[in-house]
Amino acid sequence: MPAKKAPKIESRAQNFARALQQVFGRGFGPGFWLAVFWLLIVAFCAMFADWLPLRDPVDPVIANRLNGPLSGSLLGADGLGRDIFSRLVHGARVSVVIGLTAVSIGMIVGGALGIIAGYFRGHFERALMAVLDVILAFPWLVLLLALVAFIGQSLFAISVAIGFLWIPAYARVARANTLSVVQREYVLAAKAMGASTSRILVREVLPNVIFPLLAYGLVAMGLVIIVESALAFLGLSVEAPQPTWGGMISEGKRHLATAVHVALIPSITMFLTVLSLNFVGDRLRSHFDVKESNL
Amino acid sequence: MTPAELEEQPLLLDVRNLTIRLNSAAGLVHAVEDVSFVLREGQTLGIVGESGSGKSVMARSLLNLLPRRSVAQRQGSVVLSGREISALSERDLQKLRGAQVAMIFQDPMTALNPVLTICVQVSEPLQQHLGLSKPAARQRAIELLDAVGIPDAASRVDQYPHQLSGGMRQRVVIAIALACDPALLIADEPTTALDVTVQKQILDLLSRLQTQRRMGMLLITHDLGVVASRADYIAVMYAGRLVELAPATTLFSAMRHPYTEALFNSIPRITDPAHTRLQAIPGRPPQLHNPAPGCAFAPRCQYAQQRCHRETPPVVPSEPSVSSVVPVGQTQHVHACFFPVTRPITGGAN
Amino acid sequence: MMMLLRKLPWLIGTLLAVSFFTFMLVGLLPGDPAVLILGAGVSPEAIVALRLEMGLDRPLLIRYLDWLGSALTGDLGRSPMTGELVMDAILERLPVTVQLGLMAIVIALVMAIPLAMVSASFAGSKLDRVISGIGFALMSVPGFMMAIFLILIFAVTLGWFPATGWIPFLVSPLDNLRNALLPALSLAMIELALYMRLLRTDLIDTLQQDYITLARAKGMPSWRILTRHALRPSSFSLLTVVGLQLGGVISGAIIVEEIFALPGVGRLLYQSILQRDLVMVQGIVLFIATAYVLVNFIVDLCYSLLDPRVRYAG
Repeated sequence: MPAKKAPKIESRAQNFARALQQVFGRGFGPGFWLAVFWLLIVAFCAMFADWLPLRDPVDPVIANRLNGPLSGSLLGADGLGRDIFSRLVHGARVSVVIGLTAVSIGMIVGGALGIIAGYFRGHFERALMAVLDVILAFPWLVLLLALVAFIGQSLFAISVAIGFLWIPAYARVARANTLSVVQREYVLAAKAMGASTSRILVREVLPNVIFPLLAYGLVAMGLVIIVESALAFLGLSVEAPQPTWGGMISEGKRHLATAVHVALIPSITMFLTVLSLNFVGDRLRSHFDVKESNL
Repeated sequence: MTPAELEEQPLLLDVRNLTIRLNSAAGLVHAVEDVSFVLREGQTLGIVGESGSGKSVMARSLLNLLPRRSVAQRQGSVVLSGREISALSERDLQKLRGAQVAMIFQDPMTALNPVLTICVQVSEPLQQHLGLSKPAARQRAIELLDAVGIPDAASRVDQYPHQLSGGMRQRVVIAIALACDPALLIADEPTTALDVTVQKQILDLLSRLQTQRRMGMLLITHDLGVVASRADYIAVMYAGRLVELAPATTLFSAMRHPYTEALFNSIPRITDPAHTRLQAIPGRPPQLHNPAPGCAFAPRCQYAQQRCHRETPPVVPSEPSVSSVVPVGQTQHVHACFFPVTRPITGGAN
Repeated sequence: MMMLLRKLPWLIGTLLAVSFFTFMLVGLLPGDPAVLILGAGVSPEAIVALRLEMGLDRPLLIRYLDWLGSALTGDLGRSPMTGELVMDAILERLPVTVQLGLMAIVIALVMAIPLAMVSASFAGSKLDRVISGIGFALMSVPGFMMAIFLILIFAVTLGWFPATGWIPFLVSPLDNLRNALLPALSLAMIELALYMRLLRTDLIDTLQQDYITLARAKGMPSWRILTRHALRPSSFSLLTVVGLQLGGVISGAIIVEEIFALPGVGRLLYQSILQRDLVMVQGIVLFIATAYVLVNFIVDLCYSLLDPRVRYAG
């Protein structure tokens, strides 16, 4: 009988590289890559809006008022004659920046709080859970409206306000994952060998908790874009003249009967973006879920 | 009943060439391969095998209880009391299940619905198959619980499963199975999840009920000890195939298949001297999704020869006197091996 | 009963914290209330006088306790902008919001449960993928966008339903429902997607349990297994999510009421924030948050009542 081969022990880097290879090697299906492609376009627009050869997004040209798509400009003009395509591209910036910033704030602050709570338990954990319970007792829009009235309506302020909303969600996810990791044997083994708390947190807990947090990130970003556009719709996001997708939809509502494209085009754009984020995030999450156990 | 009388009973279950292939991530799994056996009324057929031998899959497939999406191929015939049931529609099968054929499963902790009372779960088949009214079904349920030995049945009947112990839950499962007086009872590892002391009680209960109602019983287990005293016939399965089938007494005294011999040898005996090494069967059960040609047991068999690795041995009669054409319908001693063991084994089974 | 008493301290504590947080949050909003009421260009003495009269010079904690004390008796103050009693304003508009929310949840449940059952029992099939796909897409559509689409199709193009306005139920039930349908549908779609997804996952899980196989072995018909054996254990998490989602429904209601010009509490809140009517905002936020905590508390209790495993163990 052949002797049993010793199991190959991979370094974490090799493991990650193998995971990446599986992501890009094995087909994820055309839908996945289509969604990724769309997201890349949106990101591109967000980054390079100022340098693209577009019409001025805030310049009202009354003569063009409510022109439909392909009559003059690519996607037509809105109620004030402003170019819709250009506004769409510039509006992407708001969505992307706020999306990334808010999710990052939520992930870093919420994640840190959750990990500390999950690891150290005790009073801090109970206090944190109580505070989260109170925060979550308020419907998110109510909280957000108050925060925005308080902090202001700059790009940064809105990002922080929405990011604040995400702290409880991330704190909970981080705490739950930390609780389950802490009970596993390799953490106990590290403790038994005299590893310091910070070492355990950074080397054992963090790498295992971070993957679910990141996986949630894409889906969270989709939700942030929805939240921000809701604010913009109510006129409480980044102020004019900066175009926002939500704001464009709000303006378009007035012209539903006469020029439906004004509301429809930003709606479809936003829908596709959020859908792509949800789709990619969901696929990645289910794909990496299995790999998680290998770490 | 005497063995002769047993042979006279009408055929209850006639399974021929049952083959089941399942879908899995790794490909097509040959879970059950060309299995044939019969069961007569009042008989107990024990089906023995390791985990992965296909015995549970086969048991569930008799009533088509495997998840629809898992089954890739299903061949062979299953005749119940003269009626071919392998191709029946789901609706017709539903009329059979619980009424003519009943099944009990391994884990009593998960076999009962946690949010329904015992009364509801026992009454359901009574209402569905026998058309009893709710109060009548409830009354009958109490009688059934009594019959399976649950104390204080009248108050237990309104309780929830989590309020009962494992042994009692299994009795409830048996009560449910017997509710409509089935002709055939399929017991899939009925005692594996129970304490040893409770095991004997449950097995005794099953034997008693079977004799009372003249039921046929398929007793599926991995424990030779369980079938030794309770089964009239024993079928041994390995890697989805039937490797030996014999009357219980014959199997233990005159086994033919090397696997059966190895199984037998692996049972620790109380009469052995202290510190006797346990005889394990070397190697591992084969993977079922890309079966190698030849006998499935050959890689682990101490008697294996070249031919065993090339050809799959067919099921043949073990008594040389009988005609070479094996009437599959007869329960006699058969085995599937080119080089069967012939020497008798000393020492008795427990 | 014992369970109720044990959880009561948590409830009271949370409600107290919620009230404190409400008071602080609104109290910290920029803008002197006196200035907002009197307007700019008024003499400083008048402002000071009004502040004294409104008790704004007292320490924060005293003001909080005073406010809380009144709130417990049902007096949430009087709006300095409109002059109405806050509680009266809320109660007058509450039926609209409650009807909207209830309709949305009911519509979502009525559609989600059968769809999830079909999806789960044919899990992996084309039908399942289509249903799940639609649900997935619906989750990417925010309430206001759904509202606009519905208005576009049913109000503007087809003209079947009005785009704005509200007629109370008691005045004309049929008109009331006509006005309420599009707003309720806008809210319902997202809830539908969420409920469907959750219930489907839960059902698939439940359907793999041993007791379901046993039910099949008993010869129970498939629909009976779905409804009686599988749905009940799976419904607990659905119930919990419905309770937790109330926050989302209320937030959605604020936007939807604004779009359809419905005289509900949400619209009142939004406009009060715009006008910086802090007394009104404080009162409404306290009311909503308290209601949310209470409803989830009741859902929690119901959960314990419905699940026999919890009921007999607790």
